[in-house]
Amino acid sequence: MIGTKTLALLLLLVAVVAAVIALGSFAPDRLAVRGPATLLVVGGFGLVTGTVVFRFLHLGEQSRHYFRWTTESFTWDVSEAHFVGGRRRRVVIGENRDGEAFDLARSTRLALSIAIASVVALAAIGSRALEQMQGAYQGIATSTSSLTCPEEEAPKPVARDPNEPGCELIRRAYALGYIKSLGECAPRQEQQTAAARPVCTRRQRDEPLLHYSWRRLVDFWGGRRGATGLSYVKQSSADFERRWAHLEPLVRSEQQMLASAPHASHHVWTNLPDPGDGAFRPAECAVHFARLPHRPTPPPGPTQASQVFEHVLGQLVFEGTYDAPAGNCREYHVHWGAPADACQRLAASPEGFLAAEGALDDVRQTLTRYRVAGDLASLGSARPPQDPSPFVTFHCYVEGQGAGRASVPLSLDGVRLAADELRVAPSAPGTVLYVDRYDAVGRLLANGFHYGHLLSEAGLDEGSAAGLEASFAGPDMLVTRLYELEGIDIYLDPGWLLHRPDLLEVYPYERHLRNYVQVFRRQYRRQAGRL
Amino acid sequence: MTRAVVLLAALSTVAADGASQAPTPYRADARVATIEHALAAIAETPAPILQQRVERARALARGACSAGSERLRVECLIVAAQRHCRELPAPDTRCLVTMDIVVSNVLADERLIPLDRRYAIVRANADYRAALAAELRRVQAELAVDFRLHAGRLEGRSDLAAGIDRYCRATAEETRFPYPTCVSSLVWTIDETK
Repeated sequence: MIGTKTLALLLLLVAVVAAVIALGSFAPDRLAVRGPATLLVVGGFGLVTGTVVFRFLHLGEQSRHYFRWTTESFTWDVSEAHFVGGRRRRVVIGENRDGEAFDLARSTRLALSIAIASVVALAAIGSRALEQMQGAYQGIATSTSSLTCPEEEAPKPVARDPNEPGCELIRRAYALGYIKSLGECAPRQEQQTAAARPVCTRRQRDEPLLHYSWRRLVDFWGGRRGATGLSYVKQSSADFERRWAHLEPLVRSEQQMLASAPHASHHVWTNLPDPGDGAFRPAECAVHFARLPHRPTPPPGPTQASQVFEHVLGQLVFEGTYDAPAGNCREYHVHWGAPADACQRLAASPEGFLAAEGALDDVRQTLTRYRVAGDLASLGSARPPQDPSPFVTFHCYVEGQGAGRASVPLSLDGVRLAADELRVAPSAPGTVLYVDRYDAVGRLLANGFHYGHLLSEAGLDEGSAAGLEASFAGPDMLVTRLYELEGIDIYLDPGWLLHRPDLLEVYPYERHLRNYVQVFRRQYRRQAGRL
Repeated sequence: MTRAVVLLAALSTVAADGASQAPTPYRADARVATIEHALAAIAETPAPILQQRVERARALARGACSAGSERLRVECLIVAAQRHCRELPAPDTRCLVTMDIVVSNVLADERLIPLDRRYAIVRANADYRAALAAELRRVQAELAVDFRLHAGRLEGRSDLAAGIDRYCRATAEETRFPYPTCVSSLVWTIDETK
């Protein structure tokens, strides 16, 4: 027979100690990092909290109830009741009227209460928490902390350098009347108009702590009143009604967000075979295209052209080395091994063709997101553009007979879209640079894409690159000569560099490929995007 | 007829051999050898002579070779450096190798300190030449530290040369420094700080 208060205290102590051991708070290394200050705080907390709990929960008094283990048969006793167990072995709870139950001594129970509070504090308070508490107090209590208003500084006189570089000539030209203004070399104004400073609501330097605390409390209460006033209720009600009227699009929007519905749907059909590397798998594509080699170097074989196409597409649209990606690879779908007339078939029967290719759901989800975005625009969301075609694109890349770009209009669910087709001749055997593939993929994705001398970093030096070959045959000054490569943009015309694989290894791709990708993305972003 | 066919075949074989043996001084092994020679030349050349060559190259870049076209500027500096080494009173076999690194460093200046940063330094400092030199050393030192962190422990000069070649080819996107800028800066800085 044991008193409930004694049993509860013992069980609580065991539970707390077990939890603290399980969490590793009693590990020697963690105990070692707690300094004496932490232990003092822990002791103080345990003493105060343990005593308060002991006092207000009346733990010092005799238990009103007791627990008893019994195997006796059931008897009718109004002072005892079944608590837990079966018919033969059970624990009963009874009223401890005569004080016959075992209870620990009062002082022992107080010690247990303090011990439990101390163990909890030891687990919860570390050196860092203590430092933060000290820091917070010092921050409020000291007048030089960042929580106080800064002192207004007297405006400093502006130092003027009479020998400021470049100004001497400008002053002379001004004196002679060749220019009408000194510009940045003009004498600076000593007194600048002081900008209006916002009212500082932090603690004033001479403000007592109690006054500051009271002010903060009043501010807090004022804020609460503002959020519970009639105007606030009216505004909330109007807002609710407005949102209620758009409940369906709101629900759909939530569903789209939870289901990670696509923000765009871009499809490319190509007659090239599947390279089989799964680069466009949604879970892996971001990693695959995060960083690609400067140029594609696929081994010869049946999927060589496919690997080149995949590399070029990834470099132009997804790779983040040169610029922010122009699209999310999860929203791009390359359909390998498509028929050469895929775009004609798509235009002839959009729904049937897309369903057969497994693309219809994806396209419809994007169109639904577009409509939902339009519906929600009246609630303050960004309004999507009038035309949804930048978010749903269809392209066909065909390597084989013929050359040129064609666009076929089509309509799906009442939305006018287009299927763009580009036909190019296959790369010549032994190609090492595939510059023409960059141009082809660029023109396929961005209608009217053009990269010319005026857009190149090589500028006008490019024209004189033809005679450079001889310079790179020299036996000396090999490092310095490489600067001349900066004047050759292989994406305009690789010329003789095609036959110098050694120079292609040290070619300044970071200059020319970066520029090419940036130029392409600027043009591409005007035509395609995501919601 | 048979003789003619045999002759034609022999000629085409010779021509093919000639084509395959065209000089390729920028192959991987040749690049590493070039860097290794440069490391050795910089280490073995006395500091005052190196300083003299730096001043010479800077004077050329600002004066006789200050062309608007980058290609003309580079060609001019190459010819002037070759001439400088040819006209030395005492022949120095390391001259062209050290001049290669020195001239490359001069050309690297504007790549290491971008134009907007250069303007800011010039406007902020009365003695802007010293400030620019300090900034240059800071960027070069940063590059050297990054190289050391990337490359790890390298034993010997040839390993170091191979490491520099690898690093400069691989990190051009992040550092935005062209290969020659990276190589000459590392060869100069690493040797200097030994």
